[in-house]
Amino acid sequence: MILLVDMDAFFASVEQAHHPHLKGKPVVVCGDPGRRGVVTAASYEARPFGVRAGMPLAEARRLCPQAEYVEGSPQKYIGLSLQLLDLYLEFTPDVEPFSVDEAFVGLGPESPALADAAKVARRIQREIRARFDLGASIGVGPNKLVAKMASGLRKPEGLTALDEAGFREIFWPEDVQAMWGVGPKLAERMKAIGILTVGDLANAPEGLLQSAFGIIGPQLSEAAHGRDETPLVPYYRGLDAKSVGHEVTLAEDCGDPALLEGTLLRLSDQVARRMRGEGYVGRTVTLKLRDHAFRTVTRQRALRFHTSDAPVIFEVARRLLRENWRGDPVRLLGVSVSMLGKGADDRQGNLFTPDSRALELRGALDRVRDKLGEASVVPLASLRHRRSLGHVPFGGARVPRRSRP
Amino acid sequence: MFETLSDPVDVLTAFVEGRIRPLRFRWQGRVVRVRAVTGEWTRREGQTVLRHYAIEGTGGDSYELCYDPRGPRWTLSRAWTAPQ
Repeated sequence: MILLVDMDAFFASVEQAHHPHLKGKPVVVCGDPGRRGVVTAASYEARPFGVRAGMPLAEARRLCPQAEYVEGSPQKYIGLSLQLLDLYLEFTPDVEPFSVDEAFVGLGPESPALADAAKVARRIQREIRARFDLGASIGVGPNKLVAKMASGLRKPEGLTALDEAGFREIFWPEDVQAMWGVGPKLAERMKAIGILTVGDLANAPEGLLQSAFGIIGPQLSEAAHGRDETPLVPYYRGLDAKSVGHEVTLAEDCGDPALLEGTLLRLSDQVARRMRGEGYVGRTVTLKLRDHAFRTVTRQRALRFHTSDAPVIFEVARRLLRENWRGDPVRLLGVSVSMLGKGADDRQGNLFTPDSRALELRGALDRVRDKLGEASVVPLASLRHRRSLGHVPFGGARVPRRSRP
Repeated sequence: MFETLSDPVDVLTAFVEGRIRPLRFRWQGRVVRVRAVTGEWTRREGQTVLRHYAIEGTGGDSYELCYDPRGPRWTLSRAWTAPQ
């Protein structure tokens, strides 16, 4: 049996647990509340007002002006998430983090019956409440798919245990988009061929699914029956990343090429540092660009070699920006590198080959940052962008200021 | 109202079962007594592990303190004080 533990409104609940005066009140976690941005998380008390994660902050303020707007702290949530993983490890070694607020917990090869697994789930829920004063909703099932979908049925602090038959009973009448992994576009394609519900998907002829959706067609049908062979991968074994990326929503829409390129430099530097820290090199650089009207463009370019060098990643990202940006004010920029492998740069014999002094310098700068922190050395051209976000290098502290109520 | 700060503070602590426990601290000329530590987490800055504490004061106010072993020093990073 597998459990999916999903922390309820995690970021907002952490703030409520840490600051008791926020309990029972609408809480919106965001970036700097004094600046433009989006809602990162909304407490259950804020949701009846229509406030949702991803919504622009200005809209949230209009819908729920009485909420407490709290600046989020990613490091805090990651720290709490790691403490939660430690708690699950007290029950079983088979723990796979799925996101910062979700984890799969496997109950071993000699899995207990559904009812016994549900008892373990209830104990985990109680421990989370006792130690962290946080709520979690848990789904229990014979595989990851059923556990995941069951976890969303009752919230907050719900517990739902389903076997395959229970899964079919609950989900077959539901809209096909209720299936985990079926997004709006795929659902639209399914509905165009008469597949409206999860049950329709389960009972659709295999030939129809294969011709409409290719090799994933039969897999979709299996999933609609509540069957899933995806193994649980305990996190101590690790999984190789498919890409490494960073993105940032700018403090205000920006049409200044120098500031945009400074931002790209900072993002490329962050991506390259993470890749080197985890021993990756990559071959495809992707630029993500979102304008003031929320139009998003992603463009990518493959290199002829693998790299984890910030200047190379930046050069490619900058070229993509120059080729694809039409001058509209930009809201969000992102850089990522994919086609990853483990190893060193393999740039012998081409124009980008770094000399040994450049590599030594890079290694020395990495060591300084490992010792003193990321803000101890930053690319000069990224300073303007950092200042615009209120980031101050050389210590990494933010300029003290008073936040808005 | 939350204030985001970076104020150095003097903190009286105890070591309980191998862990640091803030008991009271001096901020803006007054002593804040700790009713409860409501949360703890750590953050890395290079090789240094910074320890953060969410604190509930006896007056219903709440704070976040950070212990930096490099000083060693304590910093008050966030404060919410109850309206008078």
